[in-house]
Amino acid sequence: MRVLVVDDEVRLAAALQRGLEAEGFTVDLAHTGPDGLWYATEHVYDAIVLDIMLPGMNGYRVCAELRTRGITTPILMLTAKDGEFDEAEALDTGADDFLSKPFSYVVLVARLRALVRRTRGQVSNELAIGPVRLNIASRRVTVDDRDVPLTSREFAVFEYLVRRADEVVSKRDILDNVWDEAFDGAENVVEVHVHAVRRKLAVDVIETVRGGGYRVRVPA
Amino acid sequence: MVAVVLAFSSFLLVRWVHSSQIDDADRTLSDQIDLVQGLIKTGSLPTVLKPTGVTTGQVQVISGTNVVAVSPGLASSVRLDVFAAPAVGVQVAHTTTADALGVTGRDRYRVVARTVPSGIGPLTVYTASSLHAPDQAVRTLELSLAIGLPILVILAAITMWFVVGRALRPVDELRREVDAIQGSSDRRLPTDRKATELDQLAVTLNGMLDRISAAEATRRQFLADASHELRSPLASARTMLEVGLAYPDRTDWPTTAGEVMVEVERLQAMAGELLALARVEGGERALSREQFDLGTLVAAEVQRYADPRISVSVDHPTSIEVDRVLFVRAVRNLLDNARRHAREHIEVRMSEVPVDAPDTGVGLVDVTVRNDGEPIAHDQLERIFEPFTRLDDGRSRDEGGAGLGLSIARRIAEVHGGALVALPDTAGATFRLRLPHV
Repeated sequence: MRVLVVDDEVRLAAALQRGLEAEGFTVDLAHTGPDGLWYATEHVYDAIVLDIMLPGMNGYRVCAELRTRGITTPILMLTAKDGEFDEAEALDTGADDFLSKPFSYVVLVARLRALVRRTRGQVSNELAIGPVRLNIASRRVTVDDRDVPLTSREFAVFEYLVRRADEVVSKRDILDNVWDEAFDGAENVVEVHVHAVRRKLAVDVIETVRGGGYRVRVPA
Repeated sequence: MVAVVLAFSSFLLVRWVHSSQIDDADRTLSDQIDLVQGLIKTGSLPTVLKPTGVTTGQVQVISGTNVVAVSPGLASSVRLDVFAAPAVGVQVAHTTTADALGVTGRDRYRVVARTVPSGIGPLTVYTASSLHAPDQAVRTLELSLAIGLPILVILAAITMWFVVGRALRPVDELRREVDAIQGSSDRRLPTDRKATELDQLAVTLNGMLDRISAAEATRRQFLADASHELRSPLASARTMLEVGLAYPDRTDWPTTAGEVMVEVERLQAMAGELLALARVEGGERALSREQFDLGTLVAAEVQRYADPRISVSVDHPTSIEVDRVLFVRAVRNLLDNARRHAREHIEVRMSEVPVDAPDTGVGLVDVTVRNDGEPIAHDQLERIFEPFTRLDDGRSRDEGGAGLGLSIARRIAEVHGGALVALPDTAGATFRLRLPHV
C-alpha cells in the first residue's frame, strides 16, 4: 500500500516512514503544504497522513483542494493544537479520520489500514483467492494453511494484484503503487517479483496477460 | 411627596382666600364708615341711618357708651362696640361672634370701628357685617380640597407609576439582554430603540463586549499555539521511540536517542519560555528587584555564548534595579535571536539616554543589540513581538525557536517600566531595550 506523509516535523516524518515501511507500506514524504498537494495530485496513494500546521498552505486547505479536484484518497489528519473544533473542521473539510498529537504509533497504523479497508469495501484484513489467504495486518500468506514466506516487496506486489483480482493490471500500475517516488528503475523489477511470488506460491493464481500485464484469478 | 406639597399649598390657598375675604369685608365696611364720617362732618348725622348709600352691614355710632346713631332695623339688644373705641382718626377691625354682638345665629362677624371728631366730641363709628358668606365659601373650598386632594394625589401616583414604568421598560429590556449574554457569546445588543440615549448605551456596551471577545480570542489563539509548540516535540519523540521499540533490531539506537534528545531540548526550551511568561504576567508584584551594574550583567551573559561575532561596549557604568532571572532571560532571548540571524557581527551597546524629567531623577538606559543579518521589513517591526510569530515560515522550528522569545523579552521590559522595540534598519536588525536606571 502506498502512503503519503505530509508533516513539517522532519524527524517525526522520518520515523513514521521507517515504521510504515517496516509494516509493508510504501511511503513518500512531504514537508510543506504545496509539496504535499503536488505529491497527492501527481501520484495515487492508498492513504494520506496530513498534518494541519504546515508551512505554505495549511492541512485544511490541502485537504479541501484535493477534494475539490475529485481526489478521493482517504486522508487522516494530525494536529498538535488544542480543541474539538480542529477535529470537526478537519472532518468537515473532507478528511476521513483524525488523530491528535502525540498519538500512539500502533493506533495510527491500525487506523490507516482501516481507512484503506473501508475505501475498498473490505470488512477484514484477510484477502482470499481460492486456497490462498493473505492477511494484510500480519503480512502473511498461506496456501491451504501452508505458510508462504514472501519478502516485504513480494507481499506488496501480490497484495496489489489480489486487490484488483479479475482485473488486468499493468506493470506500470504495479510499479507506481508498490514502489516509492524515489525508485527510478525499469519495469523489469516487477517481472522479477511476480516470478518469485509464483514460484513460492506453487499455485497458479497469477496469470500473464499478453501485452497487458498480470491478472489474479481463482484457479480453475 | 406630592401629597405633602399639595396639602401645604392648599392650606396656604385656604388661608389666602380667607384673609382675602376678610380684607374685602373690611374694605366695604370702611367705605361705609367713610360715608357716615361724611355725614358727621357735615353735622347732618341722623339718629337712624336711613339707607343713604349704606348698603351692607350694620352701623352704630357711639359716643362713650351711648348709641348716637344706628342703622335701621338693628335691634336695640345689639351692641357693636365689642371692643374699646380706638383713638381719634384710628381704624380698628376685629372678628367676633354673633353672641358677642347679641345677634341671633351662629355666624361670625367682622367689626370695623373708627373714631372721628365731631361737634359733640369724638364719635366712634362701629360697622359690622356677617362673615357667613365668606365663611361658607372657605368651608366649601376646604371640603372640596379635603376630598379632591387625596383623589388627585392617588391619580397622580398611578399616572406617574405608569409613565415611569413605561419609560423604564426599555431600560429593563436592555438590562435583561445584557444579562443574557454569556461569557464568550457573539451576541450583541440591538441598537434600534426609539430612545437614543439607550441606543448610545447599547453601542458602548457592544464595544465593551467586542473588546472582551477579542481578548478571549487572543487568549484562545495563544493557548492553541502554546499547545502546538509543546505537543509537536512530544509527538516526534514518542513516534521515534515507538517505532524504535516496534522494530528494535532494525533501529539505529544512538541516532534515535540523539534525535529524541533534540526534541527533549525543544520541550525544555519551550517550558522555560512559558514559565517565564507566566512569571512576567504576574506583574510588578512578582518581581524581586535587586541592583546590578548593567555592563557587568550583560557582559557575563555575552561571555556564556563564547561567540566571536558578539562585541560589547558600554558608554559609562550605570546601575539598574531589575529582577535578575527575568532580565537575564530578556537579554538571552535578544542574543539568541541575534545569533540566529547574524552573518558576521553582533553589537551590544549600552548607552545612557538623557531625559528631561524635572524632579524624578530617573534617567533611561538603552541596551541595543544589532545584528548584520536580514533586515526586518518595515511592516513586520511590530509583528515580530507577537507570540509564536516566525517571520520565515520556511525555517524549521529547530533553527527558529518557538517564537516566544521576543514577546517575552518585551513583556519583561514593560513590567520593569521600560520598553523593547525593533528599530528600522536597512542593513540589519536593531533591537533597543530601554529601561529606567538608578
